[in-house]
Amino acid sequence: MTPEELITEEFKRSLDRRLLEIIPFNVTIIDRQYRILRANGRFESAFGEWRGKYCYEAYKGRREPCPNCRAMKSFDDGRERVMDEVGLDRKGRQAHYLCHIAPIRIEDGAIKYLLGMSHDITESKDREREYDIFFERVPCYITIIDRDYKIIRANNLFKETFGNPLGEYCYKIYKRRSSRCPRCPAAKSFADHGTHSAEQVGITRKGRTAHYVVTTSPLTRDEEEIQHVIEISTDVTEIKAMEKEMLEAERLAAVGQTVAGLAHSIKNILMGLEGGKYIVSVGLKKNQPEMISQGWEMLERNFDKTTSLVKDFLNFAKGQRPEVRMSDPNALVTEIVDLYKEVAAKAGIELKAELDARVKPAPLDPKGIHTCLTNLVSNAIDACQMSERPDRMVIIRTVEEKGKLVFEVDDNGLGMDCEIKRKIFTTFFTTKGGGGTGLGLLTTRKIVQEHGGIIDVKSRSGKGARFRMELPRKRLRQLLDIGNSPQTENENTPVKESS
Amino acid sequence: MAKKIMIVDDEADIQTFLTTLLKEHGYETMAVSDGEKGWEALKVFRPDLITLDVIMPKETGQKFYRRLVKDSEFKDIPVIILSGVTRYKELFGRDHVTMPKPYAFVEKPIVPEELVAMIREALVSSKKSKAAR
Repeated sequence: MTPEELITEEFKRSLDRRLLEIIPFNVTIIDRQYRILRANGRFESAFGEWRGKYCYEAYKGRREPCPNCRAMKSFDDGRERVMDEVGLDRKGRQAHYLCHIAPIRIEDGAIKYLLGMSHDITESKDREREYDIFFERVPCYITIIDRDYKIIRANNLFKETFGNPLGEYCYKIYKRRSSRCPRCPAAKSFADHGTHSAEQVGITRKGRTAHYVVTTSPLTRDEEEIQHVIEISTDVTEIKAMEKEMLEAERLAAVGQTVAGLAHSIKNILMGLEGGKYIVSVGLKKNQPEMISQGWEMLERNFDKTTSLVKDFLNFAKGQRPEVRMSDPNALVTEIVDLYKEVAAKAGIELKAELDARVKPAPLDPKGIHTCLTNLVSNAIDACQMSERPDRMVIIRTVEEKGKLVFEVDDNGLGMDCEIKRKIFTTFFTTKGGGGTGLGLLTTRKIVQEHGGIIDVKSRSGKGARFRMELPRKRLRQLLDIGNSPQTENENTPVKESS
Repeated sequence: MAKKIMIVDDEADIQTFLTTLLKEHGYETMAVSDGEKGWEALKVFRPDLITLDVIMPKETGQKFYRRLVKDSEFKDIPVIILSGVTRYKELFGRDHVTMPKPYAFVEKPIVPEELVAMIREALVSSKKSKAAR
């Protein structure tokens, strides 16, 4: 039996009756006078009662035919048409629908009816509009490129900034390059279907350097081979400029602070010199040798202070490059304890080490860390000396802690209030009167930072202090890489002169 | 009777200098090295004027001053701030309602005669204001 023979007469009749209801569109049949002769249930539920109405009435709520009605042309040329229309649904809401018009020929070949099939695309229209708004209004450059890296679409902001790009290579229009950029994020998106981003520097139409962060994504998800990638770029040129200005401002502020601090130290020394001079002159006038020698000592002491200030300052300003090598942190601490044990004991202070056996050797600048520990320990001893409690103690500790090498220096001395704590890492701050230059902790912090670490302090007035240097192992390893680069080796290797 | 001046400064050389200078000009002096000791000395020595350094261990000059101006017994003692850092002016009397300004700020290094002249003036005006009450 042929397929035709399989269809029963009963089925054919049923199809005639129900066909219009089965089609998933709003269906109408109209004649040349725009009259709706039939419509299906879908149409009725979308546009309401249609019986006795003209199509323009039912579809658009009009009283007369639409000007230049395109559907009617199908009566004359017998062609099918697809039209994008806007109508009013039964609730009076604007509806976008796509309408397919098919002329129906009857046996003599004349066209007496049109079959209209439409479906509502309001939702996708809305989405399209949202997409357009997004595409044009986001403050980003947007381009869509094909697999040849040619730009097939771009938003207006991009066009205004970089010029008309259509059909151009993206690397050419963004950067005026003649070949693809190294580490191209779009290439990665083509390869792994993922989203990637990169910081780039381009050149605008007007020749301005543009810093931008570009994010690339495949435009379609389900295809096996991605055909298009969308590139969305945020211009960060201004932010970059601001960052630079801020760094510069910070640098200037630091210079200013340093100069102000230096001036403060010098003023204190001048005050001592002034005092010495005054006492000597009074001693001379009154012929009092003790006064003269007292003043003279003051003069000498303040000259010495000048010397040590200059020395410390140069040490701080010099910025030695850390000489990194594998060092045993515990051995370093033992060294410091041996060095200071006697000094501490003489002042009635117990100095001891608490070493964590898990601490493994680390890439460090041993001289630098030595300086840090020396500064912290001598501060701790000073703080103890200023305290009156009997059981004065300084502990240096090493701790291995979650990928961090930690040094701690504890004392149970004088402690600090928050005013002092706030100032201790500023240039030339000292609480030791003439005893300090106010550079020790600053130098210590600098060295810790050069090791990629941080230093902080916990202290309360009268309750001692704990200084803690945290050096992340990961950063220390990087230090070793830098230290072992061929360049450094060459610098350290003596060059043999050929005779 | 000689007027009494308390010197609060942690630097020994400055203590010696100011002590010598002020004694030469007929004042009775007492020198202490920080605010905490200053507070104890205040009750015993009962100074007519205080010279105050700013940065000192234990208790800073700022803290000492704040305590002083809140104390009904000592709040009228004129205070001359001696500091190497002019910026510290901002730290004193920022809040004028709760904290009156100190009598004067003198930047180190001092000129001996000028300091003495200032102290003399301060003592005269504080005497006047006391007499007026």
